[in-house]
Amino acid sequence: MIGFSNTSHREWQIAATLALDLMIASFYFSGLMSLPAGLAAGAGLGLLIVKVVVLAVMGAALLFGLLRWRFGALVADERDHHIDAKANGIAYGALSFCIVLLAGQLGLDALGLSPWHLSPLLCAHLLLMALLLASGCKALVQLYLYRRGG
Amino acid sequence: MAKGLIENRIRRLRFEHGEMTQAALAEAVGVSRQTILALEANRYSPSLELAFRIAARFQVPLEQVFQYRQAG
Repeated sequence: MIGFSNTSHREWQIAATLALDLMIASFYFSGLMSLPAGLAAGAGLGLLIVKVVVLAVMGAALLFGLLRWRFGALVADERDHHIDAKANGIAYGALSFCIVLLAGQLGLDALGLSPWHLSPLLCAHLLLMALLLASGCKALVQLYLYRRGG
Repeated sequence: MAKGLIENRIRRLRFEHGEMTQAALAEAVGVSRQTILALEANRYSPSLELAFRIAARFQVPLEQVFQYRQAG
C-alpha cells in the first residue's frame, strides 16, 4: 500500500507535475474535439491555446506555490541529480521513438506508400502528444526510482 | 560481471552518536533526509565524496561505514 505520510516534497512535486500535465492535456484535447470544422476552427483553436496557457500558468503557480508553502524551498542533492538523469534518459528514448515513428510515417506518406495522410496540424498535435508522453514517462520513472531506489 | 552490494552501518553509527536523527545527519553532510533513508535501506549507493563526508561526520574510517560485498 502506498502511504502518503512519508512522501517527500520532491515526490509531491513530481506527482503535481504529472497531474498538471494530464489535466492540461485532457482540457486541450477535449476542447480540440469540440471545435467546429472549417474556418471557425482557426479562431477557436487560437482561443483554446490562450486558455490552455493561462490554465497551465495558474495551475503551476497554485500547485507549486502550495507545495513550497507546505514544505519550504526544494534543494537537489546528488541522488536527485542521479534519478533526474536516469528519468531524462528514458524520457528522451520515448520521445525519440515517437519522432522516428512520425518521421517514418511522413516519409512513407511522401513516397505514396502510406494509407494515411497526416495534415500539418495533425503532425503538430502528434508531436505535442509525444512531448506529453515523454514528460509523463519522466515523471513516472522518477516516482518509481524515489520509491524503489535508484 | 556480477553486481556487488554496498552495505553500510549508518543507522548503527547514528545511534552510537547520541541517537542522531536522519535529518541532523542529512543536514551535516548536505543531502536530503530521503537520501539518508535510501542509503540506510541500501537502495542507493553514494558518491565517493558523500561517503567520505558521512565517515568524517562520524569520525571513523570509510570502511567502518561502508562495506562492499561481492555477488556470487
